[in-house]
Amino acid sequence: MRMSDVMSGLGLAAFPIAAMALFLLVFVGVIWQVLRKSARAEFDRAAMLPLSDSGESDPAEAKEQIR
Amino acid sequence: MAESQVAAGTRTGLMGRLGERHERVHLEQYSYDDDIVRKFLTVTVVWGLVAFLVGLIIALQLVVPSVINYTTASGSQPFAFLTFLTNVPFLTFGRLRPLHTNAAIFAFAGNAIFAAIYYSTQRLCKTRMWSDRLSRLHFWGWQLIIILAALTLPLGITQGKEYAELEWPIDILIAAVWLGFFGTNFFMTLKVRRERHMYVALWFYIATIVTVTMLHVVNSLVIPAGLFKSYSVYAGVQDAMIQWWYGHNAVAFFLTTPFLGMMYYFMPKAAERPVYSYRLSIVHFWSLVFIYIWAGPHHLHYTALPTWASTLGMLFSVMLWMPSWGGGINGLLTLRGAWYKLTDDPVLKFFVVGITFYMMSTFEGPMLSVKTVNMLSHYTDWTIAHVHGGTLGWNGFMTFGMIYWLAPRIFQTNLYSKKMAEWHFWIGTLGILLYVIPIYVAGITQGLMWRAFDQSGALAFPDFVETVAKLMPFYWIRVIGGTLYFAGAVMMGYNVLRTWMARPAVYEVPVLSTPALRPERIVRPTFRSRLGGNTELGHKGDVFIQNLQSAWWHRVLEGVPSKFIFWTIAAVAVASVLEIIPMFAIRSNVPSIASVQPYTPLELAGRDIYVGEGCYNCHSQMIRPLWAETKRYGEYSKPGEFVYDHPFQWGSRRIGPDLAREGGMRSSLWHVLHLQDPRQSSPQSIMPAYPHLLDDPLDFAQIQTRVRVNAMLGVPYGEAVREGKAAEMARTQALKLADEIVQADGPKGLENKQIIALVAYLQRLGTDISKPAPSETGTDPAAAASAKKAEASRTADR
Repeated sequence: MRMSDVMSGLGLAAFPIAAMALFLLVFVGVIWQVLRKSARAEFDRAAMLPLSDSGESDPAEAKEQIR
Repeated sequence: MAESQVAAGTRTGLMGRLGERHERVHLEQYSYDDDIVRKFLTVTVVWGLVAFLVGLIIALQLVVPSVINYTTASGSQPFAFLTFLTNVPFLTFGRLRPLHTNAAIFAFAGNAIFAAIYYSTQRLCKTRMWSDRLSRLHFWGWQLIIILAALTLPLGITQGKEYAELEWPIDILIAAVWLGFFGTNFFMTLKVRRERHMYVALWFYIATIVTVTMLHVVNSLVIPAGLFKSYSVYAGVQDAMIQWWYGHNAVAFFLTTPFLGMMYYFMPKAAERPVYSYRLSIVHFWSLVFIYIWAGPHHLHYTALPTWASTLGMLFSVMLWMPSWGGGINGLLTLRGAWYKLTDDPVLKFFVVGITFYMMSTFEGPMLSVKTVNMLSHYTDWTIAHVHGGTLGWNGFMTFGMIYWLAPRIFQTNLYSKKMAEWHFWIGTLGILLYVIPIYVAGITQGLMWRAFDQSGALAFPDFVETVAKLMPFYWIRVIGGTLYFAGAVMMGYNVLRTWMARPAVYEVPVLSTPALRPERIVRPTFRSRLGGNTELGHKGDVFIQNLQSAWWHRVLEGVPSKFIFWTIAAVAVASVLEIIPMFAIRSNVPSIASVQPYTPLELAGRDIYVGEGCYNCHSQMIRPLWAETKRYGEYSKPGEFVYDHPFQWGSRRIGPDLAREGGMRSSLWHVLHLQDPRQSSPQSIMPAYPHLLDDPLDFAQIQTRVRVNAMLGVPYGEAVREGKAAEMARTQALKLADEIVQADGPKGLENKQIIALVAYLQRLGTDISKPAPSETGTDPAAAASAKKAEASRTADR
């Protein structure tokens, strides 16, 4: 008996559709979570991370230097 | 809630700066390991030159055959000296093309990714890499893999699956170096980081490491038949599905996500301002992780793959367009208010054109995945042009930009010549355009020629070679474009070399100090329903929504990399499993055909030569159910015909004609002479010559092992697995075939040469479907006919 014989008995045909729906749902959740207003300050700080090379400075400082 | 968290974050920063006044804050001292970045950057330049040079050679190989026999009026053949490009075994197109793709992807782009990751991860995490030793093991291990690839591929040691050609011992080494050294080091560095928030570039790196591991392991599952040969555990349709799930996602997670990480780190660096929208970068990340993994089957439209799978692939590919452009625009708009910097900064020029090519490729990709477009583009040079727009433009230019930005910083001196970098940019851009534009034209021209018909309804260009000869001018322009691109890279090599020569005697190693990351306690807030007069369920729902909105759970996720990694794995793995399992599970996907039998031992040996020589690089074995194809090649291919093909050999580009129904179309002698020198029978052919196959002895002894491995994989070989039986069967068939060739006035003594096995295989291709099904009482034509009819109606339903 081959592996595919066992698996074909399991009736998995609906899985891709269910998974797609699940993925879509999670994805919409992530987008919603990202777009919420309250995240702005957090994201502004995160965006400055690459520009703050010296170990001790806070990213906000680097931002002030640019402005 | 979120505001208070940020305030807390700012306080931590303040405490860091005012550490001396705050007794509880302990500053930790560390320095970055830039030596490993210097190492990876150097080999990126070196392997880049190798990859481009091999690309140039194979581009020449496609035009050289059309001129080597050119004779001047005085009778001399000025181009005859180039014949070695067409007949030296280890230099043939079929063996060098995998070397080119592997060198470009895994050596050039691979080392570039590592240089970017080692530089940016340390700085984003405010820590040194977790283990210097693992960094070195990773570096030397990866270079060893590249050298092994450069040795084995020209020798014809290959698994015969595109971009996954390396044989199993190297595959094991790749897994060990990638996950064992690189992955471990990277994830442990995340664990010991001193910056709580993981910047978006790191997310892209995580997705890269996790997904490439999964793709590589699943696609490389084989049963070895000796040190240099193995058979894929999958066969036919399933192997094709796994391979293009791998192939497509290798583009996604080796050539896209790490380069996006590079973009999100180095673009702000070069522009000296933060990314346009951090929010958009997060959306970009999650969209790619969620959607990309599903898109693989779009490489297999109109093939024997079930329709639902390729339609799913198409849908998800089209969906990918939006996040890709969102990300591209995000990268470009990072230059907002600083576009003037473009005029005198070659780094930004490379980045801007690189991102533009990313956007062009990610628009074109979804378009090519639409079935009606794919019908024309598939198997043509259109794919080649698309891929080179992406690699030369996006991967190449992002890497060049990064190198010009990094070199003066890590070699702690000025760039030797900014002017030369500017020249590199312009020459490189011209090179890309001279490469892709003619190849687009070539692709569309050939695609249209294949399907053109005349007034009587017959094919307008029935001779395949006509459609190839037409492309020669375009192929010549490509050689010029490739030469320019290569010349630009040589200038970069010289520039980096001179920069390195001007380095200080001893590199300065700045010591930094940052407070250690203290465990952050995230308090789960309690919420009360805001609703009045509602059901219990309504109250619970409102509390749930408030919980979601407060996003305390997402901060938990970000703070702890292992959980973040877990969810990334979950996203890609679940999608993969659910995409692939039904493929194996649903019996109706691959209706069996009773008359399809395993290859004889001799044919199997011939197939191994076919795989080893890389014939699949130019010949497909998959006739799509389209008028022009069935007219040209015969009955379209059925899923059930490939059940014994370990690995599948459908191919992706027809530089030569499809071979799925080659069996019995021509005499065996024709094949022998054609392989000896294709231009004897077809003067315009650009195929390499294989005279060595007529001299090299066939190793009958090893056939037994190979038959047994196939039997182990479920191929019903019956008697042939008995010791000595396979070789005996092979010899008998070889004698008969060699005799047939001699009868037709062909060369003598071929019965123990490699060519006999290859011809036996070619003569078998696609013939089973028209044979009667074997039955226990002998052949019963009526039963076979009804079985065939049933099969035809089943496939028609698809």
